[in-house]
Amino acid sequence: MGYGWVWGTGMATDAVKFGGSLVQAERLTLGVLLFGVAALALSDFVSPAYWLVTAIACVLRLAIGPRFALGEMQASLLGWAGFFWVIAELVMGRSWIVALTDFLLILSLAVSIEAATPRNHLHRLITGTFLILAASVLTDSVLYALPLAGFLLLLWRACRRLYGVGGDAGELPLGDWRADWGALLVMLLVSAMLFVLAPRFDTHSRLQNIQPRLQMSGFSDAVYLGDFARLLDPTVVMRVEVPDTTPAKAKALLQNRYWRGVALSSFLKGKWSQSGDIISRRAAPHSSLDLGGGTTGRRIVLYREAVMHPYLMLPDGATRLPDLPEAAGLTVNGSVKFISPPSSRLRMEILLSAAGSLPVMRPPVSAEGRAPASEAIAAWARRVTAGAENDEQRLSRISGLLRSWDYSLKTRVDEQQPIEHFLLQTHSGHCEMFATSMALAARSLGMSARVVNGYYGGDWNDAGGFLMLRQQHAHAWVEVWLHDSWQRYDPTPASRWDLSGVRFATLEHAWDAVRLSWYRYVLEFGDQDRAGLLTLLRQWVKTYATWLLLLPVFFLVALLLRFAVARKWSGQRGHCRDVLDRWLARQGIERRRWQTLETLPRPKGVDDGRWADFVLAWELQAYGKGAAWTPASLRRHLRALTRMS
Amino acid sequence: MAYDPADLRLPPWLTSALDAIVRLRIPLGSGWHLGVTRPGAIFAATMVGVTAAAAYSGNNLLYLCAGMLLSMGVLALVSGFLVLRSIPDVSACMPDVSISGCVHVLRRELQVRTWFPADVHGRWESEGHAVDFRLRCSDKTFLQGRLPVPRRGLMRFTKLFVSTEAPLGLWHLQRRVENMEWTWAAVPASAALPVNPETSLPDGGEWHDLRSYVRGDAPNRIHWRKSVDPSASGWLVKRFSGREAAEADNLLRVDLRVSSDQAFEHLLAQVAGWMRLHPAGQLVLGRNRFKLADAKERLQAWRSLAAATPGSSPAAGSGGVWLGVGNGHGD
Repeated sequence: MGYGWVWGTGMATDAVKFGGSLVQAERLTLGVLLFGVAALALSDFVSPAYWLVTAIACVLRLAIGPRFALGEMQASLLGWAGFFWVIAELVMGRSWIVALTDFLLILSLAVSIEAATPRNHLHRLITGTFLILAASVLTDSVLYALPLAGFLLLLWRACRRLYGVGGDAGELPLGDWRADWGALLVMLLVSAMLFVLAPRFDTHSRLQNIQPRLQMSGFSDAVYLGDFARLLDPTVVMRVEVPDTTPAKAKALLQNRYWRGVALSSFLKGKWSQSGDIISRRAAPHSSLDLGGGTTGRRIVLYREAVMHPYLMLPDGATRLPDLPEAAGLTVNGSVKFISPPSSRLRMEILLSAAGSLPVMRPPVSAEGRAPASEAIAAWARRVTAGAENDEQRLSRISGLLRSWDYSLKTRVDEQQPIEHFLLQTHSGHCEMFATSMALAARSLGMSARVVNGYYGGDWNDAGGFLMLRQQHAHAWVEVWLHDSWQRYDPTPASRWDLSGVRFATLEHAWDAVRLSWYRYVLEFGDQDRAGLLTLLRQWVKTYATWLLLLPVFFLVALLLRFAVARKWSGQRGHCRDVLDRWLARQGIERRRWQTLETLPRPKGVDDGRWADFVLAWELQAYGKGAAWTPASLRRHLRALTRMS
Repeated sequence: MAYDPADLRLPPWLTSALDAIVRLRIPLGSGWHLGVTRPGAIFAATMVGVTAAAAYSGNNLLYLCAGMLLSMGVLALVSGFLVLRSIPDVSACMPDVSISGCVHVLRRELQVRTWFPADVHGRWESEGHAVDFRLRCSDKTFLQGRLPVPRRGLMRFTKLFVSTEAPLGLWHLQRRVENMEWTWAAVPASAALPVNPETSLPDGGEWHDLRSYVRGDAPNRIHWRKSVDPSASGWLVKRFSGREAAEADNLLRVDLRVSSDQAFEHLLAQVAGWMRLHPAGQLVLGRNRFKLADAKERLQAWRSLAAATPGSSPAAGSGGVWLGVGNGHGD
């Protein structure tokens, strides 16, 4: 039957006891159920214990066969027990959505080991479908695509087994898997087409206005829960893309930029804090915010993940935010701050100039010039800058010295005097230690300085053509007021960027690209994406118009060649039959197209034995393993038949 | 084994509603009709439900699930279309002549290629008659059926309906095949001629050949020892040299002037028996003459025999064996 799965030794016994079709459908319907369980297991709302028990039961049933079963009544009782258990869970305060998934999985357990009956197969198909549908609401993982495709393949084959070739069809053989794989491919292509072309309606929100009760219905809540389930990689901070350009240009534009967050001016008791970060310019939602760098620049798109703080990481050279998704403002320290921290992922557009200039910021306030509390730091700064003629030289010496030290995340930090300990003893630490040391040293020398938190660099994803900024790219640097403007100094050793934490960059990038594609082109697909896709398709057609025109020609030529070869081959065979039919007609025998030679009377004048041999040889070459005759060889055979007779 | 949603122990009203839906046949034009099976009705309901949920919620994964279910249904439908389109001219495989009152068992291999194994139901219809058969398409495709042959007559079938639920058993697709017709002659079972030269020969005479038994042959003419030989297809009857002389003419002239239905049918049974024994003979049936050695004329003879009605004219021609009711040899 073409099954590749290994069965236990009891297969033959089971086949006799439960019927061949039942045993064959057993694996398929269990597979449907297992894929449903696997899909739901991807959800964050599912207790691992529940799906593990069901999966183990399925595997045991697969291994042992239908003998490993509960009676129909027992399975029914198990289902009811699951129902009451879930009620108890709800009474005990468990989230209803978790209770629902628990119930579905208990039901799956019951039908997976239910007695082998035709009804059991139907239970499995229906439960598997419910699991897949529930998972579509409760998970957003890209891995969902795998059980979904597996579910589709096995559902197709199980339906063929149960309703197509079984039963009234008199148990036709099911055939091997090749045709089913082809069907799966076709179904996936058609599904993709339907997915793209299907109109999207905002029915849910429209119905809410006229019928508020819907908000309380379980279904609508379940749908919204999908949004909560969309948990991205928590280490991701933001993703940046440059539309309408080549990946190389996008990479050149985005790489090695500082993404400026909050400026920290006040240093008290070993801690930095912001001070006087007042919003100087406000912008309402869906309006633009001018950052003071002009109105030109290339448009980039930034996807900011939901974080607790209200600051937007702004790249060097940002000139304008053309369409703010939420109300925000530009602070006097050059940061962009949302009026209230957004609770969900945001998509923002930024106009970015090629030059990485800092935004326009106000002069330093007193807090930014306050001298450090420690005399040891001042002494260290004076010692390092001894002989320097001006502030630039002093800052360069400090920065240069710090850059020559070691970057480490493992160096012990002295809780009482962390900076002194760092400057005078360890000479090793992380970026905050270097930035703080330089800022405090600059202040001790009479310059206004502050620490800025943000991100630097990021992972350029070649596979997806985007920049990914993660927590590991978090950075701190120094801004010093020099020559009536704020200047950036980054005293952190370059070795800091060797610690990327990415072991298999290519694989990780590919995986990120896949996940991003899933989010962008499946979960978040909308009318705009469809329009974009159609535009892309049109451009693609324009670009490859010549090839597209040539393709049908190639196809036609290939088709003609194929027909020619097939015709020649079949023509030989057909001609062979024609030769035979003409010869038989001369002998007074008329053969109909479906008639085999053995059903015909023996031609006159032909010996019985010779005729039988000839018929056997003909059947062998026509239907068996014998080499096909050509018309010439057939004529030879016929001549011999007549002569010898 | 019944795999059916009815196994879900649905309430009777729901099962009745399902059956009402299952009985519906939607015309698609050009002789095509579409219906659903019970599993198909449940599948379609699921598909509609998921699509509505997707449209209502805007959840793209639900859209994807709906798209997949829809594509599955569409592919099943298209496969069914292709299966029915690939049905060749089956009229060539149907029997031309069958013995009335028997069951004609049909099993022939056809050259049909389908993507998936499929079971196709075929139905020939004529006025007052319908004949069902099946095409079982798998690695090899067989046309098979048990065709109960009605009483003697000539049936001309001009309507061929083929239908299938392949490959998933969700949709019932029916096609009326145009330009295909089949003529089926239900001829009477054989009976021996009333004047059989063999029967007049004394027992113990030399026989020179064996032939198949036909109804009416005397039991003492059966060669029992040869008949039980595995190579023999049935009872074998001895042919004596005296019979050759009687059959020299090899011509049977049948006078159809018979008033009694029973006698007429018996007469035709005798003609059928004679025709089977004399594949190269000549038959005069009423006013029509047939050379049985010619395949087309032989077929025409069978058809004439199936459609024969009592006549008012004597048998045409002269010589040979005269067969009629009343006077024995005529002329």
